[in-house]
Amino acid sequence: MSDELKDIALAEAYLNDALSEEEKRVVEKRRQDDPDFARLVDDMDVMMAGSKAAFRQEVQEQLQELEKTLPRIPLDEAALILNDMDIPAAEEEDDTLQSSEEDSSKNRRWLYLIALLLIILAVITWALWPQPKAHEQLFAKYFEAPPVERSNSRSPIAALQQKADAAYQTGQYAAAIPLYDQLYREYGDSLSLYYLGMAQMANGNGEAAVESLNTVAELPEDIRYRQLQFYLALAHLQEGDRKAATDLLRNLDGEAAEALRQEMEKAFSQ
Amino acid sequence: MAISSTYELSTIKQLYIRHRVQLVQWLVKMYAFDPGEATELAQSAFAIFAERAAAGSLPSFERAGLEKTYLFAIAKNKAREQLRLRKRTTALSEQAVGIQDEEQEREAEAEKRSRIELASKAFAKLGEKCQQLLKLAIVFKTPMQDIAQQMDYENAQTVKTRKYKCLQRLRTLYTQSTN
Repeated sequence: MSDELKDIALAEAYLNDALSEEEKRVVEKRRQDDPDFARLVDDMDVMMAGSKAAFRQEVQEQLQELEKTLPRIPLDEAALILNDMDIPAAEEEDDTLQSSEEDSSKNRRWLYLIALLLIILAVITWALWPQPKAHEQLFAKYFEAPPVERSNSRSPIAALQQKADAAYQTGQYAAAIPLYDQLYREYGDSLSLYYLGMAQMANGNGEAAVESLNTVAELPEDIRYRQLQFYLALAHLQEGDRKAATDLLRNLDGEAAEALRQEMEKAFSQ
Repeated sequence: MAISSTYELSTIKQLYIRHRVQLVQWLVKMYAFDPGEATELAQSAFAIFAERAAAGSLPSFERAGLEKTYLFAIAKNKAREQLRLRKRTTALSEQAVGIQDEEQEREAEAEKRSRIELASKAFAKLGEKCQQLLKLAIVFKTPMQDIAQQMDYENAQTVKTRKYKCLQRLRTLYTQSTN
């Protein structure tokens, strides 16, 4: 065997860690002293790595050929989301644990970021959410649709009255409104007009309620004057006419009227 | 699928067919590689897997699905290596000054990688027998005696001498390609 082949054999054994400690020391000393030998050891390291790389290249080329025969890999969003469902935790590689920690730390950072964004979003939503105005708040506090009080009637419209009252009593104001309207317009039932006003208020239509209750107030019949004025004030309040509401309340006795008037003064003076 | 330490290309191909979609999708999603890069990376991970299988250095996959975990771990390291390289290229293209130790280390790593690639190309220029012998000896770590039987050499010593000659030839081809 030539000297070069002997040196290749020595370099290969050294690189494969197949030498004794003493032999290793000799090789290392020679590497320091003999640049040609040092280059040869270095080159042998590269030749062996190159042989392995050639093998990997061969496998990779085989897989590239195989890939050409396989269906295209779906890479749309849905496919990528589904992919998440079965990803193994890669732990065997040397530095994979560190990598896993980095990934999990990255995931945590994302979670914190998402949580922070949600909080900011919630605060902005809360700040921008239309807050009920003062008059709406006061209306909601003081308005409660009064129960129907009607003496038993044997008139021909009794059935229609019962139907309207039943809808009203069960909170179906939208259904009660046309019935009360019919009872007033077709049969002149003034009490139905009163409850029409209540149903309209309960249904959120202060303007219509003002009209209905004003009409009741102008009727010759004396229908629950005090309550009527109070509810009329509430109807004005509901549609945002504070002055009309205050004027009506000022002429009324009673705790509720007084309390509402004071609260209105307080709320609207701010 | 149980993977024995004995390398079989057909087994690697079966594994590839089984896991390629998920691996490529994962590389695209996690590391934002384009589909072509991700497919190449996935194939390169399978090639490393194959090399380890050939050398008998794979861990034992007694539990189902562990080979997949192992594959993903290889791919993850390859992806990170690729991203490091990309980062380095970007830094150099921006003419970053004040290269530090880490950068020098990366330079050395890149240089070695480039030399290995040249050696790999030189390997392809070797004769068929040398290629087979070096593959058996270096990649598959086959004992000399077995190579002698497989390749019809007289004995283990003859194989050893042939191997050194093949390495010498490889070095010559490599040196020629660098000049």
